[in-house]
Amino acid sequence: MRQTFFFFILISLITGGCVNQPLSHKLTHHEFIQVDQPAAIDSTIDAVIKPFRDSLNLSMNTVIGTSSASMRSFKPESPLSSFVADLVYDAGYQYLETQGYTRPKLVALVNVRGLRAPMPEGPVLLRNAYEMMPFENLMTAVLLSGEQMQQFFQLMAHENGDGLSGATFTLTDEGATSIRIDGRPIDESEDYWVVTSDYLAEGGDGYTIFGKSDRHLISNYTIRDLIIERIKSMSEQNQIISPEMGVRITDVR
Amino acid sequence: MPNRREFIKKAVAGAALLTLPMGSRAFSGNKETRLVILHTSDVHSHIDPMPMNHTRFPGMGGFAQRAAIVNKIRKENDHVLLLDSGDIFQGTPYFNFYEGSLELKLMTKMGYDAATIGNHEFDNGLESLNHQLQHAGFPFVSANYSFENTPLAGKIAPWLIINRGPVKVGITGLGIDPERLVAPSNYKGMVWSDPISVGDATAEKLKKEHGCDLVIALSHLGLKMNKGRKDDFQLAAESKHIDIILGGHTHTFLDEPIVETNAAGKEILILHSGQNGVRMGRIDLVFSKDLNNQQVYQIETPSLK
Repeated sequence: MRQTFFFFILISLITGGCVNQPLSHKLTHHEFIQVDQPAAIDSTIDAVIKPFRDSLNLSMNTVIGTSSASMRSFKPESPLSSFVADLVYDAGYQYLETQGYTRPKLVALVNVRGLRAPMPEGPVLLRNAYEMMPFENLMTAVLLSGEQMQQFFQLMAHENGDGLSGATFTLTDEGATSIRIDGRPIDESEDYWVVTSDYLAEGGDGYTIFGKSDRHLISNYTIRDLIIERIKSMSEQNQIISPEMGVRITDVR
Repeated sequence: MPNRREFIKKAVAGAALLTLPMGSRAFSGNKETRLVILHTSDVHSHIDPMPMNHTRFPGMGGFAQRAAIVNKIRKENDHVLLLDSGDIFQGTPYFNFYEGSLELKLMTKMGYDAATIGNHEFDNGLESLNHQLQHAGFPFVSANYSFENTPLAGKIAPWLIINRGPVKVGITGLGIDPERLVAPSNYKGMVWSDPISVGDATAEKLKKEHGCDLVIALSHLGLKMNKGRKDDFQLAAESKHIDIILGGHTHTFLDEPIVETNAAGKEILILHSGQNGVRMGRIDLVFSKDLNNQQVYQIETPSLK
């Protein structure tokens, strides 16, 4: 064996060819190390982090409101996604009016998976708003025809629901049925606004229908700004955030 | 701080050297070499440990805690690789305020050897990513993202070779299809191609042309995906030349490595270390010349699927 090996090397040296004999390997140890020893930290790394942490903590630990319960975001609808959809609806209504569209017909859409952390019970910190909505997504209004609106609800059914405000529907195995916008069926001769994030307006999460519209109004407000504004204004009026339990999506699957 | 350009130069120089006839390693006989591979993924800007009142991971993670573990392992072992499978960015205010610069500075200081690009690396667009890369003193690899017509042109290597003792490790990166996942304006000009064919062809080149002993794919495809997306299980089953997939995207906490059979009937290892820096994966491989007939990846307990 050894002889053959050296012979091979010799030949390679003479011919100047590539030795193409990779090393073999075997797995001798494996583990997933839990990083849970807060006492053992690398002080050099911590020293780099410290000024950034101190600066962030100054603003992030500010209390901006109070919540009566912990609220999470899940499919098809949830207290947190409904809370955010409602505030996007209100902001969208105001925004469209400032753009010259009086008494706009609209629904608000928020993607359940875009809300990345729960609303905590008790004091709500600015940090919580950032962790809930870490993305810099801008509120965007998209104009859809009545027919496109039908397809929009089918897409939402296909996505197993999402945060919705201003409309209700029934989620069946066949798709969305009993769709009501502001209590009324969709009027195919009417246009409707969907107020959402620029991410969904660009077709994210499968909402391809927005690409069919040529009227996209992109505001300067991030969804996070709107969340923070709502929590702060409730706090100023001594209101406590509570889970919104109204059913928008009736799941009969 | 080592400069990123230098790293790429060195990696390329390493690749060039391999094409020369004969490596000194041919004379190292039957000596065994232990290589420790450490890997993270989906750290998502969790610079600090998770809060103590966190329901799933109280007090876990954080760069300073992780660095202490890495340092200890480096002291105990000659040959260590530290790798990341993407989604370094997004998830805490650190990213909102510092746009990823702190994450990359700390990874550089911790001595990361390479990382690949996750979908959240695009969250502030390509201009911002390009700007942040100046803080990375380690290379980013991606074989199936082409940045030719973007600000990142020439800055992302399709593969690289890292030498650890006599062992030549080829590393490539594979990114997820950004469609429906990333806002189109945030990756404008970037071209995605099929990770399985590109990944396997890259691995084949690393082994056959560059003489790599081991090929690692840093994957941000996800362990198991639906809706027609290519995932790590498919990559494992349909490729022939990748040895190890260090995966991410799905935030999967595996308790054991997964051993699959590839398209050539050989074993391939899939590892996922979870999210937020709560865990770090470690595998030790022993390299030598005479292990040819041994089972490569022996796991004591059955793997999860």
